[in-house]
Amino acid sequence: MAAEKPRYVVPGSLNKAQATNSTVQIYATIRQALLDYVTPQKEMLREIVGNPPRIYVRSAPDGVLFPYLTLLLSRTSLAAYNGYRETAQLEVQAIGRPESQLPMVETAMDLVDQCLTAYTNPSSGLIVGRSRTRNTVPMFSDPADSTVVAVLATYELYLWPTVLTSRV
Amino acid sequence: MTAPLTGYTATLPADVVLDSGQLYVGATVFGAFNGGLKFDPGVEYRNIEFDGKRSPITALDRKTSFMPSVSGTVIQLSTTNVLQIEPGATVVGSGAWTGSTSYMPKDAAGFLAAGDYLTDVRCVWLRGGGNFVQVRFPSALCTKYDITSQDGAEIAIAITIEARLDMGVTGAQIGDAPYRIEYIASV
Repeated sequence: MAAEKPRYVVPGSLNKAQATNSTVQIYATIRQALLDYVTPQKEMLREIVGNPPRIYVRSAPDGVLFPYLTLLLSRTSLAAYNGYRETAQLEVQAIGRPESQLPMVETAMDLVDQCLTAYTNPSSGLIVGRSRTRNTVPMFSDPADSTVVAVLATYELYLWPTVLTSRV
Repeated sequence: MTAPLTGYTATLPADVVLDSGQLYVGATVFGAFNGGLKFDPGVEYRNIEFDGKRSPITALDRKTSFMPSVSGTVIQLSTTNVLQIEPGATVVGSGAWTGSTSYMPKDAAGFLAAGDYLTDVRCVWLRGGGNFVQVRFPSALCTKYDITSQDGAEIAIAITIEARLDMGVTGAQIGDAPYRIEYIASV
């Protein structure tokens, strides 16, 4: 397997403490929430994305194993809260290959749905998630790789992140 | 640089109240609502009047009445809900539509019985810290509802439930508030 390119979230790169002191820590907090979430049926995302968990920010490293997830945040602060509160769209991509991994990829996104549509984290700042849109990507055709399967979901979050609320 | 003024404090993440909340009757969910819940304590004050007064005066206020109510729009109508919005209604056989379960609303002449009132009506809201805050009516009555339907949408039943002071409770005084605001760890 080729060496991994540097990424925001790679094993050992972050303190696992819940935090919103920076964008990197917000990613880490959400990533940890996904890994810690247990369904009523005792399922966990880490059973699908392996160990070390293949949940990356923005894109996966070269030579990555499948399936894996990527996270991408787009954040907006509103004047109504003097910039202290922000709304965010978190795009989560679940990618599998070969095509037979589609059920696994859909199941992974089911777990993400359960976690992030009922997510309230007040341990550092505040992150709340309640809604999402989700799409399964149609099968690719040449020249794209038709064996790749993917589910994309966008989660609406709102945050009072410490990185914005600790200003002086 | 001077940061803008804000109401944000370090306790906001735990104290903020989230989402639309839910209405319970006792330990049971009333039903699915659309548009959240509204609680109005309905308090009225009287600032004692006298000749020559030019503005309301501190320490001359008296709380004169309560009319606490909770209102919202519920989108379901179960047989349990019928009895909740029609206090004192009874199931009748005589004169009922064939094959139906027929609820006859309470007549307009007599008093309601103690058992016709709802017990522990609760508006429960989630706090950011993971526990809950609720407004509780130990005794209550649905005093108003109307039903609106719309093509392609769910039914909308606008309900208003008012608190009642139960004078049968030991120690109850006529001026007591008929509602409580309570912080609870679980619903």
